[in-house]
Amino acid sequence: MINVDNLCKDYGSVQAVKGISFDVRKGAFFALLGPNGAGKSTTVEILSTLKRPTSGSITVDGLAIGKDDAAIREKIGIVFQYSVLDGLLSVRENLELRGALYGMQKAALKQRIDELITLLDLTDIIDRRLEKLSGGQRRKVDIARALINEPEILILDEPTTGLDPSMRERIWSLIDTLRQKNAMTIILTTHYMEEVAACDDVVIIDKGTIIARDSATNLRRAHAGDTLILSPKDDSLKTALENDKVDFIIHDKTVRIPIKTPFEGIPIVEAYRDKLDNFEIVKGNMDDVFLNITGRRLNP
Amino acid sequence: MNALIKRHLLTYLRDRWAVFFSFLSVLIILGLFVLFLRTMQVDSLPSHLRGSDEANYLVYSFILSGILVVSTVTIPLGFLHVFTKDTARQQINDFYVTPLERRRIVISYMFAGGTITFVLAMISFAISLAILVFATGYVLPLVNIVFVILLVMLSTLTFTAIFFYVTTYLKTLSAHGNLSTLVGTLIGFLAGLYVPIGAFSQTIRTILGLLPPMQIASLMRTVYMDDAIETVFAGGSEAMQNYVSYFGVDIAVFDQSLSPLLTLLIFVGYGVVFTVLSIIRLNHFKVE
Repeated sequence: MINVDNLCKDYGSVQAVKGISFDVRKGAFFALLGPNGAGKSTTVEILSTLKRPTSGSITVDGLAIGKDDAAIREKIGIVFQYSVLDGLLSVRENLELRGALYGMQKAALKQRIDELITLLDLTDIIDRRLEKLSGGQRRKVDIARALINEPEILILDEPTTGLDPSMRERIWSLIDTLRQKNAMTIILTTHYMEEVAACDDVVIIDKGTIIARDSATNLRRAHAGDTLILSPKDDSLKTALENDKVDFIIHDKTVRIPIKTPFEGIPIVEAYRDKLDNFEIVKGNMDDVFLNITGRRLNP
Repeated sequence: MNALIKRHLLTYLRDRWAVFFSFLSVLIILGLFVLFLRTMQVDSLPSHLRGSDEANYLVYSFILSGILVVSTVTIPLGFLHVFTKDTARQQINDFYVTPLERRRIVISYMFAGGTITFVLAMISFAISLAILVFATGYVLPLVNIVFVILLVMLSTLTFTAIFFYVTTYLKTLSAHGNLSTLVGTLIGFLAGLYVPIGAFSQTIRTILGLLPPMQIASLMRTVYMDDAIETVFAGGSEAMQNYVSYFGVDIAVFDQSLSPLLTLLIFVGYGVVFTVLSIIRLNHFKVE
């Protein structure tokens, strides 16, 4: 559905995006993951026709960005990281105005807004001014705005930034519902690893280049195995492990050994049992993926 | 584009402070008028006229015509705060992602600015006519009313174009605020309201006469005060000559009197130049 080919974007002498290529298939839940300044937003801005690439190309359903922008805009809905709606207008006015910009006629627009009220549960706030709403309610309206033109592709640019954890949870369950009800292609950018857990296609981007790409499950399997944490009685454990050439790191007086599955830990514990006070095995999480690929934390 | 214009107007009109500040200069001029500008005017008249209804007619039409001009300057600048805000806070991106062409999105702010300025200036004009009747008992002749409306329209177009062009260079809301403060402070002088143009040196008079606020103020006085001047001075006298040149009904540059026609042409020239500059400037907003 979307084809990105060798995309580059320079700002003066700064290369924000350095020749990235990927494709997004129809109906995918696709994520661009990376730290701040990795080039995610720039990529999304080019995709949503807000910026031109320095070189490279993007096509959407065969339509070329830069040539068929108006047609591409019809297909895309975007939830910006920052608030773009009008605080002094009511939710309904905001939606009516934006719908009109897509050339929607009054009757069709009214029907669409009614659908969105049901879909996103906006009944209580539809006639209230946007400035009177809470952060989470506003985000719902942002999503309604992005859906006004019935887009085939929904872009979510850091959709939960600035929301408290419970609100983030609710926005995510909302996005889940949307995915199940509509066969939309969803493109998500985020710097929260746990947010991509449900994505079937994750591109990890760092310093303007792609450093990994797979499903969230596979990425975790490949780059975030479990860890065996040993609490040694004394320094003799360290010496023994070194002699046996076992890979480990020392962290907070504990010895950490990466393992693929919990069962791999059993023989190690058995072998060094007399040198241990205690041990535990922790499951790998998404945050370890980025750490293990780049050697840096995603959100230091 | 109509939906966009409606949106700009709604966001402006619901921002009560923005509307208030658009009229702040007008309110200040009214306040100064009550405090001392009126006395200053009256004192400049020949002694036998002071205190008469005719004199009141003259004085009121001087200040009301001035206020009308000032409002066509400060309203477009106040309104265009919407434009600066949308670009500074990237809210305009939400319009850019719709199929509407970018140049049309950007120019919609100019159209909305012109529309709201004309409408609000017309309301100001209606109020000013009512004030005139209640305070002096005089009604502006119909033909003068028509000319005033035409001048308001012209002034609206010119100042909207000027400020639209200037605003496209503003990156922050504080820059816009500073410009508004500057214009709001200077406009009373630039239109010859706080201090009559005749009180200035010849150099300053020339500079002011070359600037659009003084030109449109002079034109507006010519049509708004025409009847009052006739009434007070009855058929041309030295006193009248002194009055019209001292209070900027007539203006002169380099000691040469500017005829109303020439003043009009120069003023229209400003409007045309800034409209063309604004249209060229639209290229700055293309996708990069």
